[in-house]
Amino acid sequence: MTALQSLRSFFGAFRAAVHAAAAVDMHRTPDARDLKKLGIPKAAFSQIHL
Amino acid sequence: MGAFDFLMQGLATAADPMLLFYALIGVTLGTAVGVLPGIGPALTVALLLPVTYRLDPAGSLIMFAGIYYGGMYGGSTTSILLNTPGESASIITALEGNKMARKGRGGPALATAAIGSFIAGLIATLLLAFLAPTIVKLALVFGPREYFALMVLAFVTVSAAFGDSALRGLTSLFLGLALACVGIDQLTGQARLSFGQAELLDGIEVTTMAVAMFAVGEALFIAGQRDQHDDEVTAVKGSVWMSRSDWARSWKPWLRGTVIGFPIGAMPAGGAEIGTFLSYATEKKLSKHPEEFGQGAIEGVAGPEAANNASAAGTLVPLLTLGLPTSATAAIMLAGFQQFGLQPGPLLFATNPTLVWGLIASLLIANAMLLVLNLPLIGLWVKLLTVPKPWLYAGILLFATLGTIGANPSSVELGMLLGFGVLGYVMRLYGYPIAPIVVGLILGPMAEQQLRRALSISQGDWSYLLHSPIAATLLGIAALALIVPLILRARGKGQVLAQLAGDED
Repeated sequence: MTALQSLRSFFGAFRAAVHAAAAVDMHRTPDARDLKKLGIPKAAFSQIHL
Repeated sequence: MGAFDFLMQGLATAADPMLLFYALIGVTLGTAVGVLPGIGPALTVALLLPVTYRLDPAGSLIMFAGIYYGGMYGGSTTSILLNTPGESASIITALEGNKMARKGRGGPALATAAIGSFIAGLIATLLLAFLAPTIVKLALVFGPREYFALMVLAFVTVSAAFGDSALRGLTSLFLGLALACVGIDQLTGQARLSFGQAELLDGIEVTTMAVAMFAVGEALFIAGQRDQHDDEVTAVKGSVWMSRSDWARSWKPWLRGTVIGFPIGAMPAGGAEIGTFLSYATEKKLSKHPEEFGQGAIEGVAGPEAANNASAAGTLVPLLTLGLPTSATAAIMLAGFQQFGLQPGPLLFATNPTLVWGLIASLLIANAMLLVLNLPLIGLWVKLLTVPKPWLYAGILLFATLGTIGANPSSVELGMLLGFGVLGYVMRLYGYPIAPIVVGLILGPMAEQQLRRALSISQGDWSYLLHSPIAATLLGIAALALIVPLILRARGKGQVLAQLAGDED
Protein backbone atom coordinates (compact mmCIF):
# COMPACT_ATOMS: atom_id res chain seq x y z
CA MET A 1 0.00 0.00 0.00
CA THR A 2 1.51 3.34 -0.99
CA ALA A 3 1.86 6.22 1.43
CA LEU A 4 -0.92 8.11 -0.36
CA GLN A 5 -3.26 5.13 -0.11
CA SER A 6 -2.46 4.78 3.59
CA LEU A 7 -3.18 8.48 4.11
CA ARG A 8 -6.49 8.25 2.24
CA SER A 9 -7.42 5.17 4.25
CA PHE A 10 -6.60 6.94 7.52
CA PHE A 11 -8.60 10.07 6.66
CA GLY A 12 -11.50 7.92 5.48
CA ALA A 13 -11.51 6.05 8.78
CA PHE A 14 -11.17 9.36 10.67
CA ARG A 15 -14.19 10.84 8.88
CA ALA A 16 -16.20 7.71 9.58
CA ALA A 17 -15.18 7.86 13.26
CA VAL A 18 -16.21 11.53 13.48
CA HIS A 19 -19.65 10.84 11.94
CA ALA A 20 -20.16 7.75 14.08
CA ALA A 21 -19.21 9.65 17.25
CA ALA A 22 -21.63 12.47 16.36
CA ALA A 23 -24.42 9.94 15.78
CA VAL A 24 -23.96 8.09 19.08
CA ASP A 25 -23.79 11.42 20.90
CA MET A 26 -27.35 11.96 19.70
CA HIS A 27 -28.41 8.42 20.72
CA ARG A 28 -28.62 7.38 17.04
CA THR A 29 -27.10 4.37 15.31
CA PRO A 30 -24.34 5.51 12.94
CA ASP A 31 -24.69 5.19 9.20
CA ALA A 32 -24.00 1.70 7.80
CA ARG A 33 -21.28 3.10 5.53
CA ASP A 34 -19.41 4.58 8.48
CA LEU A 35 -19.68 1.37 10.50
CA LYS A 36 -18.43 -0.65 7.52
CA LYS A 37 -15.47 1.72 7.12
CA LEU A 38 -14.60 1.15 10.79
CA GLY A 39 -14.98 -2.62 10.52
CA ILE A 40 -17.92 -2.66 12.95
CA PRO A 41 -20.65 -5.24 12.23
CA LYS A 42 -23.95 -3.32 11.97
CA ALA A 43 -25.95 -6.20 13.42
CA ALA A 44 -23.71 -6.34 16.50
CA PHE A 45 -23.83 -2.55 16.93
CA SER A 46 -27.64 -2.50 16.70
CA GLN A 47 -27.83 -4.72 19.77
CA ILE A 48 -26.14 -2.09 21.96
CA HIS A 49 -28.62 -0.08 24.03
CA LEU A 50 -27.69 3.46 23.01
CA MET B 1 13.45 23.65 36.65
CA GLY B 2 12.37 20.96 34.22
CA ALA B 3 9.05 19.21 33.97
CA PHE B 4 10.33 16.31 36.06
CA ASP B 5 11.24 18.64 38.94
CA PHE B 6 7.84 20.36 38.74
CA LEU B 7 6.13 16.97 38.73
CA MET B 8 8.06 15.84 41.83
CA GLN B 9 7.05 19.06 43.59
CA GLY B 10 3.49 18.44 42.47
CA LEU B 11 3.56 14.92 43.92
CA ALA B 12 4.75 16.35 47.23
CA THR B 13 1.76 18.75 47.15
CA ALA B 14 -0.73 16.09 46.06
CA ALA B 15 0.40 13.75 48.86
CA ASP B 16 -1.31 16.05 51.37
CA PRO B 17 -3.91 13.90 53.20
CA MET B 18 -6.74 16.35 52.52
CA LEU B 19 -5.98 16.47 48.79
CA LEU B 20 -5.73 12.68 48.70
CA PHE B 21 -9.17 12.56 50.29
CA TYR B 22 -10.58 14.91 47.64
CA ALA B 23 -9.01 12.74 44.93
CA LEU B 24 -10.60 9.64 46.46
CA ILE B 25 -14.03 11.30 46.56
CA GLY B 26 -13.60 12.39 42.96
CA VAL B 27 -12.62 9.00 41.57
CA THR B 28 -15.32 7.20 43.57
CA LEU B 29 -18.01 9.61 42.39
CA GLY B 30 -16.62 9.49 38.88
CA THR B 31 -16.71 5.69 38.76
CA ALA B 32 -20.28 5.73 40.09
CA VAL B 33 -21.49 8.20 37.47
CA GLY B 34 -19.55 6.35 34.79
CA VAL B 35 -21.26 3.11 35.77
CA LEU B 36 -24.73 4.65 35.79
CA PRO B 37 -26.04 5.26 32.29
CA GLY B 38 -27.61 8.66 31.71
CA ILE B 39 -25.32 10.71 33.94
CA GLY B 40 -21.78 11.61 33.13
CA PRO B 41 -18.82 13.63 34.39
CA ALA B 42 -20.09 16.86 32.78
CA LEU B 43 -23.35 16.80 34.72
CA THR B 44 -21.67 15.70 37.95
CA VAL B 45 -19.10 18.49 37.84
CA ALA B 46 -21.87 20.99 37.00
CA LEU B 47 -23.92 19.82 40.00
CA LEU B 48 -20.92 20.06 42.31
CA LEU B 49 -19.82 23.54 41.21
CA PRO B 50 -22.17 25.43 43.55
CA VAL B 51 -21.38 22.99 46.39
CA THR B 52 -17.61 23.50 46.10
CA TYR B 53 -17.75 27.27 45.88
CA ARG B 54 -16.61 27.74 49.46
CA LEU B 55 -14.16 24.83 49.52
CA ASP B 56 -10.44 24.75 48.87
CA PRO B 57 -9.82 25.44 45.12
CA ALA B 58 -7.02 22.88 44.75
CA GLY B 59 -9.06 20.13 46.41
CA SER B 60 -12.17 20.95 44.37
CA LEU B 61 -10.31 20.95 41.06
CA ILE B 62 -8.58 17.68 41.95
CA MET B 63 -12.00 16.24 42.74
CA PHE B 64 -13.38 17.38 39.36
CA ALA B 65 -10.43 15.87 37.50
CA GLY B 66 -10.91 12.65 39.49
CA ILE B 67 -14.57 12.60 38.45
CA TYR B 68 -13.54 12.98 34.81
CA TYR B 69 -11.03 10.13 34.96
CA GLY B 70 -13.35 7.96 37.03
CA GLY B 71 -16.17 8.41 34.54
CA MET B 72 -14.00 6.89 31.82
CA TYR B 73 -13.17 3.88 34.02
CA GLY B 74 -16.73 3.27 35.20
CA GLY B 75 -18.37 3.41 31.79
CA SER B 76 -16.77 0.13 30.75
CA THR B 77 -18.45 -1.82 33.59
CA THR B 78 -21.94 -1.05 32.33
CA SER B 79 -20.91 -1.62 28.74
CA ILE B 80 -19.52 -5.07 29.47
CA LEU B 81 -22.18 -6.33 31.89
CA LEU B 82 -25.29 -4.57 30.60
CA ASN B 83 -24.58 -3.94 26.91
CA THR B 84 -25.51 -0.33 27.75
CA PRO B 85 -22.63 2.14 27.68
CA GLY B 86 -22.35 4.13 30.89
CA GLU B 87 -20.58 6.80 28.88
CA SER B 88 -20.81 7.44 25.15
CA ALA B 89 -17.05 6.82 25.01
CA SER B 90 -17.63 3.23 26.17
CA ILE B 91 -19.94 2.25 23.32
CA ILE B 92 -17.28 0.30 21.49
CA THR B 93 -16.41 -1.55 24.70
CA ALA B 94 -19.99 -2.88 24.72
CA LEU B 95 -19.51 -4.31 21.24
CA GLU B 96 -16.88 -6.86 22.21
CA GLY B 97 -17.00 -6.68 26.00
CA ASN B 98 -20.61 -7.81 26.37
CA LYS B 99 -19.99 -10.67 23.94
CA MET B 100 -17.07 -11.76 26.14
CA ALA B 101 -19.28 -11.53 29.24
CA ARG B 102 -21.98 -13.70 27.64
CA LYS B 103 -19.33 -16.34 26.96
CA GLY B 104 -18.37 -16.38 30.63
CA ARG B 105 -15.31 -14.14 30.09
CA GLY B 106 -16.68 -11.04 31.80
CA GLY B 107 -13.81 -11.08 34.31
CA PRO B 108 -11.01 -10.82 31.73
CA ALA B 109 -13.04 -8.18 29.85
CA LEU B 110 -13.33 -6.04 32.98
CA ALA B 111 -9.69 -6.67 33.83
CA THR B 112 -8.33 -5.69 30.41
CA ALA B 113 -10.54 -2.57 30.47
CA ALA B 114 -9.32 -1.54 33.94
CA ILE B 115 -5.64 -2.30 33.37
CA GLY B 116 -5.70 -0.71 29.92
CA SER B 117 -7.35 2.36 31.39
CA PHE B 118 -4.65 2.53 34.08
CA ILE B 119 -1.75 2.18 31.64
CA ALA B 120 -3.24 4.66 29.19
CA GLY B 121 -4.05 7.11 31.97
CA LEU B 122 -0.52 6.82 33.37
CA ILE B 123 1.24 7.33 30.03
CA ALA B 124 -1.11 10.10 28.95
CA THR B 125 -0.80 11.97 32.26
CA LEU B 126 3.01 11.79 32.02
CA LEU B 127 2.77 13.11 28.45
CA LEU B 128 0.57 15.95 29.76
CA ALA B 129 3.21 16.74 32.40
CA PHE B 130 6.09 16.81 29.92
CA LEU B 131 4.28 18.60 27.09
CA ALA B 132 2.63 21.29 29.20
CA PRO B 133 5.74 23.43 29.85
CA THR B 134 6.59 23.46 26.11
CA ILE B 135 3.09 24.51 25.11
CA VAL B 136 3.03 27.15 27.83
CA LYS B 137 6.30 28.63 26.47
CA LEU B 138 4.71 28.83 22.99
CA ALA B 139 1.50 30.31 24.37
CA LEU B 140 3.36 33.13 26.15
CA VAL B 141 3.73 34.87 22.78
CA PHE B 142 -0.07 34.82 22.34
CA GLY B 143 -1.76 38.18 22.49
CA PRO B 144 -5.48 39.09 22.26
CA ARG B 145 -5.73 38.44 18.50
CA GLU B 146 -4.03 35.02 18.79
CA TYR B 147 -6.36 34.00 21.63
CA PHE B 148 -9.38 35.23 19.68
CA ALA B 149 -8.28 33.24 16.63
CA LEU B 150 -7.78 30.14 18.80
CA MET B 151 -11.28 30.49 20.21
CA VAL B 152 -12.76 30.91 16.75
CA LEU B 153 -11.02 27.65 15.78
CA ALA B 154 -12.47 25.95 18.86
CA PHE B 155 -15.96 27.29 18.01
CA VAL B 156 -15.76 26.01 14.45
CA THR B 157 -14.42 22.55 15.30
CA VAL B 158 -16.86 22.02 18.18
CA SER B 159 -19.87 23.04 16.14
CA ALA B 160 -19.27 22.46 12.46
CA ALA B 161 -16.25 20.38 11.59
CA PHE B 162 -16.74 17.33 13.81
CA GLY B 163 -20.45 16.82 13.67
CA ASP B 164 -23.23 15.40 11.56
CA SER B 165 -24.62 18.73 10.42
CA ALA B 166 -22.67 21.98 10.27
CA LEU B 167 -25.92 23.99 10.18
CA ARG B 168 -27.26 22.43 13.38
CA GLY B 169 -23.90 22.69 15.10
CA LEU B 170 -23.52 26.36 14.21
CA THR B 171 -27.11 27.04 15.29
CA SER B 172 -26.35 25.54 18.71
CA LEU B 173 -23.14 27.54 18.91
CA PHE B 174 -24.79 30.86 18.06
CA LEU B 175 -27.55 30.14 20.54
CA GLY B 176 -24.86 29.68 23.19
CA LEU B 177 -23.09 32.88 22.10
CA ALA B 178 -26.38 34.81 22.23
CA LEU B 179 -27.06 33.53 25.74
CA ALA B 180 -23.53 34.57 26.69
CA CYS B 181 -24.44 38.19 25.77
CA VAL B 182 -27.12 38.32 28.48
CA GLY B 183 -26.07 40.42 31.44
CA ILE B 184 -23.90 43.45 32.06
CA ASP B 185 -21.30 44.32 29.43
CA GLN B 186 -17.89 44.07 31.12
CA LEU B 187 -16.42 47.07 29.30
CA THR B 188 -19.27 49.59 29.22
CA GLY B 189 -21.34 48.45 32.21
CA GLN B 190 -24.56 48.46 30.16
CA ALA B 191 -27.25 45.83 30.59
CA ARG B 192 -27.74 43.56 27.57
CA LEU B 193 -30.73 41.32 26.86
CA SER B 194 -31.85 41.43 30.50
CA PHE B 195 -35.42 42.55 29.61
CA GLY B 196 -35.59 44.57 32.82
CA GLN B 197 -35.10 41.49 35.00
CA ALA B 198 -32.67 42.06 37.85
CA GLU B 199 -31.88 38.31 38.03
CA LEU B 200 -30.56 38.39 34.45
CA LEU B 201 -28.08 41.21 35.08
CA ASP B 202 -25.50 38.64 36.22
CA GLY B 203 -26.02 36.68 33.03
CA ILE B 204 -27.06 33.07 32.52
CA GLU B 205 -25.45 30.80 35.12
CA VAL B 206 -23.26 28.17 33.48
CA THR B 207 -24.26 25.62 36.10
CA THR B 208 -27.97 26.21 35.48
CA MET B 209 -27.53 25.80 31.73
CA ALA B 210 -25.27 22.73 32.03
CA VAL B 211 -27.52 21.01 34.57
CA ALA B 212 -30.60 21.81 32.47
CA MET B 213 -29.04 20.51 29.26
CA PHE B 214 -27.38 17.40 30.66
CA ALA B 215 -29.81 16.39 33.40
CA VAL B 216 -33.30 17.66 32.64
CA GLY B 217 -32.96 17.43 28.87
CA GLU B 218 -31.49 13.92 29.01
CA ALA B 219 -34.13 12.71 31.49
CA LEU B 220 -36.96 14.02 29.29
CA PHE B 221 -35.38 12.46 26.21
CA ILE B 222 -34.97 9.04 27.84
CA ALA B 223 -38.53 9.22 29.21
CA GLY B 224 -39.83 10.06 25.75
CA GLN B 225 -38.17 7.08 24.08
CA ARG B 226 -40.64 4.39 23.08
CA ASP B 227 -38.37 1.37 23.18
CA GLN B 228 -37.84 1.10 26.91
CA HIS B 229 -36.19 -2.14 27.88
CA ASP B 230 -35.31 -3.86 31.10
CA ASP B 231 -31.58 -4.29 31.31
CA GLU B 232 -30.28 -7.68 32.33
CA VAL B 233 -26.93 -7.73 34.09
CA THR B 234 -24.66 -10.49 32.81
CA ALA B 235 -23.10 -12.13 35.85
CA VAL B 236 -19.31 -12.19 36.12
CA LYS B 237 -18.44 -15.88 36.13
CA GLY B 238 -15.10 -17.42 36.89
CA SER B 239 -11.91 -15.54 37.62
CA VAL B 240 -11.70 -11.78 37.25
CA TRP B 241 -8.05 -12.05 36.17
CA MET B 242 -6.54 -12.40 32.74
CA SER B 243 -4.73 -15.43 31.36
CA ARG B 244 -1.27 -15.26 29.79
CA SER B 245 -2.86 -15.30 26.36
CA ASP B 246 -5.12 -12.38 27.35
CA TRP B 247 -2.10 -10.35 28.51
CA ALA B 248 -0.24 -11.18 25.28
CA ARG B 249 -3.18 -10.02 23.19
CA SER B 250 -3.87 -6.88 25.25
CA TRP B 251 -0.60 -5.07 25.83
CA LYS B 252 -0.10 -3.82 22.28
CA PRO B 253 -3.72 -2.57 21.94
CA TRP B 254 -3.25 -0.71 25.26
CA LEU B 255 -0.24 1.14 23.87
CA ARG B 256 -1.78 1.75 20.45
CA GLY B 257 -5.00 2.97 22.06
CA THR B 258 -2.98 5.45 24.13
CA VAL B 259 -1.19 6.77 21.04
CA ILE B 260 -4.51 7.16 19.21
CA GLY B 261 -6.59 8.60 22.06
CA PHE B 262 -4.19 11.22 23.49
CA PRO B 263 -3.79 13.52 20.45
CA ILE B 264 -7.46 13.21 19.53
CA GLY B 265 -8.47 14.23 23.06
CA ALA B 266 -6.21 17.28 22.75
CA MET B 267 -7.86 18.38 19.51
CA PRO B 268 -10.73 20.86 19.74
CA ALA B 269 -13.94 18.83 19.65
CA GLY B 270 -11.86 15.65 19.44
CA GLY B 271 -13.79 13.93 22.20
CA ALA B 272 -13.20 10.43 23.50
CA GLU B 273 -15.61 8.65 21.15
CA ILE B 274 -13.64 9.35 17.97
CA GLY B 275 -10.52 7.77 19.47
CA THR B 276 -12.39 4.65 20.53
CA PHE B 277 -13.86 4.09 17.05
CA LEU B 278 -10.45 4.58 15.43
CA SER B 279 -8.80 2.26 17.95
CA TYR B 280 -11.35 -0.48 17.20
CA ALA B 281 -10.78 -0.13 13.46
CA THR B 282 -7.00 -0.28 14.00
CA GLU B 283 -7.13 -3.34 16.24
CA LYS B 284 -9.37 -5.20 13.82
CA LYS B 285 -6.98 -4.46 10.97
CA LEU B 286 -3.88 -5.49 12.89
CA SER B 287 -5.31 -8.44 14.81
CA LYS B 288 -4.14 -12.01 14.19
CA HIS B 289 -7.70 -13.08 15.03
CA PRO B 290 -9.93 -10.74 12.97
CA GLU B 291 -12.63 -13.43 12.75
CA GLU B 292 -13.19 -13.07 16.51
CA PHE B 293 -14.25 -9.42 16.16
CA GLY B 294 -17.98 -9.17 16.71
CA GLN B 295 -17.87 -12.37 18.77
CA GLY B 296 -15.87 -11.14 21.77
CA ALA B 297 -12.29 -10.22 20.80
CA ILE B 298 -10.29 -8.97 23.78
CA GLU B 299 -8.37 -6.50 21.57
CA GLY B 300 -11.70 -4.80 20.84
CA VAL B 301 -11.98 -3.98 24.55
CA ALA B 302 -8.33 -3.29 25.38
CA GLY B 303 -7.61 -0.75 22.62
CA PRO B 304 -10.77 1.40 22.83
CA GLU B 305 -10.69 1.53 26.64
CA ALA B 306 -7.08 2.71 26.55
CA ALA B 307 -8.02 5.27 23.88
CA ASN B 308 -10.86 6.77 25.89
CA ASN B 309 -8.77 7.17 29.03
CA ALA B 310 -5.85 8.64 27.11
CA SER B 311 -8.21 11.15 25.51
CA ALA B 312 -9.35 12.32 28.96
CA ALA B 313 -5.76 13.32 29.75
CA GLY B 314 -5.40 14.75 26.24
CA THR B 315 -8.37 17.03 26.89
CA LEU B 316 -6.54 18.54 29.87
CA VAL B 317 -3.59 19.65 27.69
CA PRO B 318 -5.33 22.57 25.94
CA LEU B 319 -7.48 23.26 29.01
CA LEU B 320 -4.55 23.77 31.39
CA THR B 321 -2.02 25.27 28.99
CA LEU B 322 -4.24 27.50 26.86
CA GLY B 323 -7.48 27.74 28.81
CA LEU B 324 -9.25 26.14 25.86
CA PRO B 325 -11.89 23.49 26.57
CA THR B 326 -12.21 20.85 23.86
CA SER B 327 -15.24 19.02 25.24
CA ALA B 328 -18.36 19.82 27.26
CA THR B 329 -16.81 18.36 30.43
CA ALA B 330 -13.67 20.43 29.95
CA ALA B 331 -15.84 23.53 29.41
CA ILE B 332 -17.53 22.95 32.74
CA MET B 333 -14.18 22.34 34.44
CA LEU B 334 -13.10 25.70 33.00
CA ALA B 335 -16.16 27.21 34.69
CA GLY B 336 -14.91 25.53 37.86
CA PHE B 337 -11.55 27.29 37.56
CA GLN B 338 -13.27 30.62 36.89
CA GLN B 339 -15.48 30.11 39.94
CA PHE B 340 -12.33 30.36 42.08
CA GLY B 341 -11.06 33.38 40.17
CA LEU B 342 -8.48 31.28 38.31
CA GLN B 343 -7.95 31.41 34.55
CA PRO B 344 -6.18 28.34 33.14
CA GLY B 345 -3.44 29.15 30.69
CA PRO B 346 0.25 30.06 30.63
CA LEU B 347 -0.16 32.69 33.36
CA LEU B 348 -1.60 30.15 35.78
CA PHE B 349 1.56 28.05 35.39
CA ALA B 350 3.57 31.15 36.29
CA THR B 351 1.43 32.57 39.10
CA ASN B 352 0.10 29.36 40.67
CA PRO B 353 2.49 26.51 39.82
CA THR B 354 1.73 24.68 43.08
CA LEU B 355 -1.94 24.34 42.14
CA VAL B 356 -1.34 23.30 38.53
CA TRP B 357 1.42 20.77 39.21
CA GLY B 358 -0.41 19.49 42.26
CA LEU B 359 -3.42 18.87 39.99
CA ILE B 360 -1.35 17.07 37.35
CA ALA B 361 0.44 14.95 39.99
CA SER B 362 -2.85 14.10 41.69
CA LEU B 363 -4.05 12.62 38.38
CA LEU B 364 -1.28 10.03 38.65
CA ILE B 365 -2.40 9.17 42.16
CA ALA B 366 -6.08 9.14 41.12
CA ASN B 367 -5.23 6.76 38.28
CA ALA B 368 -3.75 4.27 40.74
CA MET B 369 -6.77 4.65 43.05
CA LEU B 370 -9.06 3.85 40.12
CA LEU B 371 -7.31 0.57 39.39
CA VAL B 372 -7.95 -0.53 42.97
CA LEU B 373 -11.56 0.71 42.91
CA ASN B 374 -12.49 -0.91 39.65
CA LEU B 375 -11.14 -4.43 39.87
CA PRO B 376 -11.49 -5.73 43.44
CA LEU B 377 -14.63 -3.68 44.11
CA ILE B 378 -16.44 -4.70 40.94
CA GLY B 379 -19.22 -6.36 42.95
CA LEU B 380 -20.12 -3.02 44.52
CA TRP B 381 -20.50 -1.33 41.15
CA VAL B 382 -22.60 -4.19 39.82
CA LYS B 383 -25.08 -3.56 42.65
CA LEU B 384 -25.45 0.03 41.41
CA LEU B 385 -26.63 -1.33 38.08
CA THR B 386 -29.69 -2.87 39.72
CA VAL B 387 -31.13 0.60 40.48
CA PRO B 388 -34.31 0.85 38.34
CA LYS B 389 -34.06 3.52 35.62
CA PRO B 390 -37.16 5.49 36.73
CA TRP B 391 -35.68 5.87 40.24
CA LEU B 392 -32.34 6.87 38.76
CA TYR B 393 -33.73 9.64 36.58
CA ALA B 394 -36.07 10.84 39.31
CA GLY B 395 -33.04 11.13 41.58
CA ILE B 396 -31.11 13.01 38.89
CA LEU B 397 -33.95 15.51 38.46
CA LEU B 398 -34.26 15.95 42.22
CA PHE B 399 -30.54 16.65 42.71
CA ALA B 400 -30.49 18.91 39.68
CA THR B 401 -33.34 21.01 41.04
CA LEU B 402 -32.00 21.09 44.59
CA GLY B 403 -28.52 21.98 43.39
CA THR B 404 -29.81 24.85 41.27
CA ILE B 405 -32.05 26.26 43.99
CA GLY B 406 -29.30 25.80 46.58
CA ALA B 407 -26.87 27.87 44.49
CA ASN B 408 -29.41 30.54 43.45
CA PRO B 409 -32.65 30.45 45.42
CA SER B 410 -34.81 32.22 42.85
CA SER B 411 -37.94 31.31 40.93
CA VAL B 412 -36.40 32.83 37.79
CA GLU B 413 -33.45 30.43 38.12
CA LEU B 414 -35.83 27.49 38.52
CA GLY B 415 -37.80 28.68 35.51
CA MET B 416 -34.59 28.85 33.49
CA LEU B 417 -33.63 25.34 34.61
CA LEU B 418 -36.94 23.97 33.37
CA GLY B 419 -36.96 26.13 30.24
CA PHE B 420 -33.46 25.16 29.20
CA GLY B 421 -34.22 21.56 30.09
CA VAL B 422 -37.11 21.56 27.61
CA LEU B 423 -34.78 23.24 25.10
CA GLY B 424 -32.23 20.47 25.67
CA TYR B 425 -34.94 17.84 25.07
CA VAL B 426 -36.10 19.51 21.85
CA MET B 427 -32.51 19.85 20.66
CA ARG B 428 -31.85 16.14 21.24
CA LEU B 429 -35.12 15.27 19.50
CA TYR B 430 -34.20 17.19 16.36
CA GLY B 431 -30.50 16.27 16.31
CA TYR B 432 -29.00 19.56 17.52
CA PRO B 433 -25.75 18.95 19.45
CA ILE B 434 -25.54 20.12 23.07
CA ALA B 435 -21.79 20.69 23.44
CA PRO B 436 -21.61 23.82 21.19
CA ILE B 437 -24.23 25.67 23.22
CA VAL B 438 -22.31 25.06 26.47
CA VAL B 439 -18.96 25.94 24.88
CA GLY B 440 -20.50 29.08 23.35
CA LEU B 441 -21.86 30.18 26.72
CA ILE B 442 -18.54 29.65 28.50
CA LEU B 443 -16.07 30.77 25.83
CA GLY B 444 -18.23 33.50 24.30
CA PRO B 445 -17.45 36.20 26.89
CA MET B 446 -13.72 35.38 26.75
CA ALA B 447 -13.68 35.55 22.95
CA GLU B 448 -15.55 38.86 23.03
CA GLN B 449 -13.11 40.28 25.57
CA GLN B 450 -10.07 39.28 23.47
CA LEU B 451 -11.64 40.64 20.27
CA ARG B 452 -12.46 43.97 21.87
CA ARG B 453 -8.94 44.23 23.31
CA ALA B 454 -7.45 43.52 19.90
CA LEU B 455 -9.70 46.11 18.24
CA SER B 456 -8.94 48.74 20.86
CA ILE B 457 -5.18 48.16 20.28
CA SER B 458 -5.71 48.57 16.53
CA GLN B 459 -8.20 51.42 17.06
CA GLY B 460 -10.96 49.60 15.23
CA ASP B 461 -8.90 48.19 12.35
CA TRP B 462 -10.16 44.62 11.73
CA SER B 463 -7.23 43.75 9.47
CA TYR B 464 -5.05 43.87 12.60
CA LEU B 465 -6.43 40.40 13.39
CA LEU B 466 -4.68 39.02 10.30
CA HIS B 467 -1.36 40.82 10.72
CA SER B 468 -0.08 38.20 13.14
CA PRO B 469 1.11 35.00 11.35
CA ILE B 470 -0.15 32.84 14.24
CA ALA B 471 -3.59 34.45 14.28
CA ALA B 472 -3.85 34.37 10.48
CA THR B 473 -2.88 30.68 10.43
CA LEU B 474 -5.40 29.78 13.13
CA LEU B 475 -8.18 31.70 11.37
CA GLY B 476 -7.19 30.03 8.08
CA ILE B 477 -7.41 26.58 9.71
CA ALA B 478 -10.80 27.54 11.15
CA ALA B 479 -12.01 28.55 7.68
CA LEU B 480 -10.76 25.26 6.23
CA ALA B 481 -12.33 23.32 9.09
CA LEU B 482 -15.65 24.96 8.19
CA ILE B 483 -15.48 24.74 4.41
CA VAL B 484 -13.75 21.38 3.74
CA PRO B 485 -16.35 19.18 5.52
CA LEU B 486 -19.10 21.00 3.61
CA ILE B 487 -17.35 20.28 0.32
CA LEU B 488 -16.78 16.64 1.26
CA ARG B 489 -20.41 16.24 2.32
CA ALA B 490 -21.59 17.80 -0.94
CA ARG B 491 -19.32 15.44 -2.88
CA GLY B 492 -20.61 12.52 -0.88
CA LYS B 493 -24.21 13.45 -1.67
CA GLY B 494 -23.24 13.90 -5.31
CA GLN B 495 -21.77 10.41 -5.44
CA VAL B 496 -24.87 8.94 -3.79
CA LEU B 497 -27.14 10.77 -6.28
CA ALA B 498 -25.02 9.58 -9.20
CA GLN B 499 -25.21 6.03 -7.90
CA LEU B 500 -28.98 6.27 -7.52
CA ALA B 501 -29.27 7.58 -11.05
CA GLY B 502 -27.09 4.69 -12.25
CA ASP B 503 -29.25 2.17 -10.37
CA GLU B 504 -32.37 3.58 -11.99
CA ASP B 505 -30.79 3.03 -15.42
